[in-house]
Amino acid sequence: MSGFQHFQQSMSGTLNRGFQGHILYTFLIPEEVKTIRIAFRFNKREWEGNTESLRNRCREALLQNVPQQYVTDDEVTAAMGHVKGEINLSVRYNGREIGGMHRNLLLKEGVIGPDLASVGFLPTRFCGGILQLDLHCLHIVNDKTEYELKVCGADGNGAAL
Amino acid sequence: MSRFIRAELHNHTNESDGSLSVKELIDYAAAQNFEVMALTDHNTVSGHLKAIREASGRNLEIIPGIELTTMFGHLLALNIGRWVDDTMLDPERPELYLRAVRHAGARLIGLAHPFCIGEPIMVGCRNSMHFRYPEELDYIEIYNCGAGDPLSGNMQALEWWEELVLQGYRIAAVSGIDLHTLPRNENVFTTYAETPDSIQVLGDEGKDAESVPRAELVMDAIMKQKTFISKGPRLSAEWKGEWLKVRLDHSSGYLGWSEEKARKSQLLLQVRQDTGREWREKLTNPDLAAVRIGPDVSHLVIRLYQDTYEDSHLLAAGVQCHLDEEAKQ
Ligand SMILES: [Zn+2]
Ligand SMILES: [Zn+2]
Repeated sequence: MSGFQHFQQSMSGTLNRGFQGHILYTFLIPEEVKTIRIAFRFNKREWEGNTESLRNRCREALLQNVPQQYVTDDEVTAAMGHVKGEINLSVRYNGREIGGMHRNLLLKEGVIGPDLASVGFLPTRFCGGILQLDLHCLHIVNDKTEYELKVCGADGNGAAL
Repeated sequence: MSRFIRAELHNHTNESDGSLSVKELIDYAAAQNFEVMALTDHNTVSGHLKAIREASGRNLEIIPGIELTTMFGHLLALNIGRWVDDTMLDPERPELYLRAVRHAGARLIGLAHPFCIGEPIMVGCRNSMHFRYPEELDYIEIYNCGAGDPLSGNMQALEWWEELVLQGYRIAAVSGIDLHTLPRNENVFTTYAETPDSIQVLGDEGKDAESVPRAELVMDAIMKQKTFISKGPRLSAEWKGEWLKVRLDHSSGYLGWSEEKARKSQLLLQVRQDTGREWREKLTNPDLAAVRIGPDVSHLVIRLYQDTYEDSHLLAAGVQCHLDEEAKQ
């Protein structure tokens, strides 16, 4: 992985519960960079707040889809299991979309090069220019949710995919 | 005579949040006799080339698509080669985003699972965009099989779509298997596209539809609102003068549907009209129904049930007819 030391950017931040929106990072990559590795992580994906208030909100959401206006406690509990923080990511290179990571994992990693790319990405020939990373903060369920985004570039295509 | 093409227009792989690789999805689709399959991963088109390569030489055609997974609802775009940035999407003015999606090359735009359970359970899944111009949507997914009932809100989606059509909006109805992994329940609606025998182009003789790629025929059928959802029977409706004729085809084999099953069932037809009237009839002939339509009707939608008019007995829906269309014939 030594080639990846060639170029490195690291961004991080803290988000609070209820934030919904996009965070865009735009920066130049050197012309020698031919392969890019992206790693994104965030924490506090599981609900840490008041369980009763979440239970009520889940019940309300379920009632919108239940014509008989009745849901069981078990159904609400099952629905609460779906509640998770989620941040996804899209990548653009010189204005063109080259893919993204849209699986709700605490750590997402991908490599993009001219011949091969991780699932979710299109193989891309980099030759300098502007890289844009868009964090889609869909659901932040806890205060002080931290995220970290790392982008490394290598001059070869030696990345292990 | 009409020809029907089965289409599954909403599918995911591990290119986004599915568990199947593109190859595994294509293997499944071919084994299940999808005739046309759209690959619609969330916010990425990275599977397109792989899907087209895997499907080649098989009895399966691919529509390159995407599920534009916004915070205010999920849009399906067909025949598109890229994700469209949604950071500027205003849910009160989605038409600006739809325009950008078309500008990016989308031939068709649909709304996925509009009444799927929303916040805080599945954030972004339920539509909260306000479509001032509903006709900017080419189709609505009136039945989504991803989340299961009652999370999917399918009956609400069907009712909403019917109301729009009865107001005169020309929007096609489709189902969405929304495959993320191999399904546990295969007893779900599929989409059929009704295609004409011959395709005519302006200033040209008709050309045999058999010679046209099926993926193109399916997209053409969506554009002309000639799609419907079904658990087996295939319907074609013809409205001429005061008569609506509905022909039923029981040869699809989908979910084991057959002539015999049709004869053993009590088929029930429901026709909703824009006048507010709802016509219901037990079919004595399982192959054909004729309904007299009043002179004040301009738009109608058709459902087919098996044995009872309960939601769980719905066999087919999404068929629509419009008066001005019939007058042209
Ligand atoms: Zn969706
Ligand atoms: Zn989907």
